[in-house]
Amino acid sequence: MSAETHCSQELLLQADFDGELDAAESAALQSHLASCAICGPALERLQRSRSLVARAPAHVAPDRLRSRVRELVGSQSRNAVVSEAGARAFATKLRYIVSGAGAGAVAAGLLTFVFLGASPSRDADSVVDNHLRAMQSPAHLVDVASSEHHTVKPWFGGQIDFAPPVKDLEATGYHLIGGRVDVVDGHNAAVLVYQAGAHTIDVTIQPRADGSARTPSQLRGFNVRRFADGDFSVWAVSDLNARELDAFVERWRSAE
Amino acid sequence: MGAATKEKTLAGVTSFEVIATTHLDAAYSLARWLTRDAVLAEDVVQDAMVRALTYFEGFRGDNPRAWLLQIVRNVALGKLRPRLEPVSIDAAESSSGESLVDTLTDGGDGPDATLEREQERRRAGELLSRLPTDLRECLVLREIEECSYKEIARIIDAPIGTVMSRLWRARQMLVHLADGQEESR
Repeated sequence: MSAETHCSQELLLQADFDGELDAAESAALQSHLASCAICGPALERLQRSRSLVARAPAHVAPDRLRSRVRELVGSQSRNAVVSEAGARAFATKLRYIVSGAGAGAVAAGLLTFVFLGASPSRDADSVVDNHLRAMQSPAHLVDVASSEHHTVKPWFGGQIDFAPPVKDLEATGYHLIGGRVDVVDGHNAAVLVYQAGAHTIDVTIQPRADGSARTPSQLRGFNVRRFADGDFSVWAVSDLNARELDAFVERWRSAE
Repeated sequence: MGAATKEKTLAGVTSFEVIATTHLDAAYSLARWLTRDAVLAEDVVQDAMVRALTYFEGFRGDNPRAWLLQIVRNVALGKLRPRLEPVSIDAAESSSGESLVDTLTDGGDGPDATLEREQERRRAGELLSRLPTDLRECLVLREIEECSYKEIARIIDAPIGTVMSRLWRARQMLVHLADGQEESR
């Protein structure tokens, strides 16, 4: 191994391989790669190492560990435990108080916490369900097909009682293909559908009830992200890998 | 605000439960690859969860997964340190045996193909186990836990440049070991 020659760009080559470079850096690296006698074979070795690791056994937490951890966490909270229904009722009451009082920041933060504890994954579940259903019947993927956010936004106006942020990400490589209306947790949600290569990304938007990002990051094979955007609670669901979905979310959040 | 503070504590604990259960597989997988031992890995995860629960109050909520993996990693290294003797390849191999069976659920093609895949898995796992811990943890975090460089840097508490060079060395070494393994067959 010591006899191998090195190229000063090798760590950049690797960073590109790991998806860590931005578009400009990546393009520069690609043109270097085309002309470097060392980096070509080096890239092949990187690919080989990746497929080796991919073949290694997956270690899943044994059931007994899972129940022991549950017990452990549960024993810490048992003193103050209320039922899920109780927590939800409390959250609803709080929401009422908050909206009535003009939303005190402290109370809103508290609401976030309580709601989180109440049912963290049920909403995520139905968001993933909706995504799956839409993917399985192309006719239901979008109710309004348009890449023009000036068309999609007013369309929602006639369907739901809030105006979701409809963002144009064309410049960053995400193509808006349309929108539809789904139901999450008994309330209407606006869904924007974006295309990234062969992948479809659903962005599900509801007026904010609990603006937390703590949601299962993966559900039935789909990656799920949850975040707050202004007055809205937003989920992004896709078969994109975790890092690509994170990159999308970053772009989406920073777009106007 | 007294009652509300109490409620916040309650909800805070509940949401730690969400973090703990959501990222349990990632925590176990990392512990398993770091310790190369099924029993020790369970101890590591359990201790890490206890520690995480005590730290949870000071946790600001950003990237709970990286936060938890960082604790798992520190607990794992703490447990490894007293046992300075290197784990033999044989030991690593036999301890990973049980999970091989766990992952052998995908049927569909004949027993030969299944056996072949099992052997491939075993060999790949064995190669990864042979990397030095500091290289192995970077590679596992990157390829198996799908962490970004920034997340790895946070978890192992090292500059990004160190992460990059360790990753590079880990990959070179893995391919080198694989070449050796093929020759010896």
